[in-house]
Amino acid sequence: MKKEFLLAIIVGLVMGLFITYGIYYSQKSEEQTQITTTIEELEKNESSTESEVNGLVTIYNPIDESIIEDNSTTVTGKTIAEAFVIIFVNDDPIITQADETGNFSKEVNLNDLANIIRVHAIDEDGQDYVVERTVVVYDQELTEEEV
Amino acid sequence: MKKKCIFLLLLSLFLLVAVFNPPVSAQEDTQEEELADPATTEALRDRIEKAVEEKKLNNSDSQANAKTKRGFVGQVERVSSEAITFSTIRSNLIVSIGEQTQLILANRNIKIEDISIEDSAVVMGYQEKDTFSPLKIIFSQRDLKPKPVFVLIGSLVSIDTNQFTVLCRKESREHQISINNQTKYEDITGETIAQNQLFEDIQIIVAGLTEVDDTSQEQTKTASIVKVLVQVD
Repeated sequence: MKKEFLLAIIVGLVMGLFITYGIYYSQKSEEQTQITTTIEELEKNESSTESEVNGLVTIYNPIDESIIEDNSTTVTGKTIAEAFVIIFVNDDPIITQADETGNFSKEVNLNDLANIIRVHAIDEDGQDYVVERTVVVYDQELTEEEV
Repeated sequence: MKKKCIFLLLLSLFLLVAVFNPPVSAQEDTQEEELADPATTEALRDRIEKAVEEKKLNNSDSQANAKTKRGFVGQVERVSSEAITFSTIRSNLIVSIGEQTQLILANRNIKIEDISIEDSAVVMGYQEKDTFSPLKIIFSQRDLKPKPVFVLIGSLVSIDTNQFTVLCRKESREHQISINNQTKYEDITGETIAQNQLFEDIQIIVAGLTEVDDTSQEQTKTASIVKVLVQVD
């Protein structure tokens, strides 16, 4: 008889431990998810202040509406891993590919003065994401009296 | 007797869930405990938000205090005696014209009255805080806006000397693409290939220009570059 009581208590304790651990684990997971989401959101906000993000394309260089002196620049950015990247400098396209981490970099030639750079990243399903940059090539002082 | 056993079993379960829950949490390490505690979670979130806000503020302060060169391309929308409105690829911008602003057309200084609506221009100056001071505006009667472009990926359905048909992956429909002697062809490695090395069902990426006929509104796509997604011998 005593054995039966003892067995009932032990079974109850084991089941109780399982239930307690289940409750604790679900609470912890929920909190962890909330923290992770917050950090991801903040990182997203932070990075968008430093570079232009459009869909799945981020352009690090060139800076939009910048004035540079050289007739070439390197277009660098990040997109989907191994996505094809098509860079239009004004109307001329160049096709390159992002590496396994999604980074890409391509040197492009620019015209004097006006240059509109459009960067398209195209994924496997044919969906494309575009970011535009304006770059002015001008190698004289802005205050200089020329003409 | 059985009833007694069941009663004891349920009692043990109840006691364990009710009494042992907090001590089980306490057995975890401090970091996990902190994450599980709502007050600590909130505090951590506040700290992160504060740090990000500070960084944003520092960035915007340093950007606002710096005097940076700024240049953009636009088309003249409106002209008054003191300002010009330009439409750019992003938005319309009103640029105040001061005594220091040089207006140039065809390598000659011009006056504001000489500017025509729809002239294109490259505007250059300095951005300081929220103020843009234009120093040079170089006008052109040539349209500086880039043409509409297209990019698509799909399989080649057919090809002849003047055009090819591609089945687009995105829309699952066929597109007729014009080709000319300016169209470039390359394989996956970037090596230049000949047009006759393309074959049906090959996967390609096409990039080029879209032109719209003013009267019929019909779109014509002309390929500038065709990239084959395999290595071609």
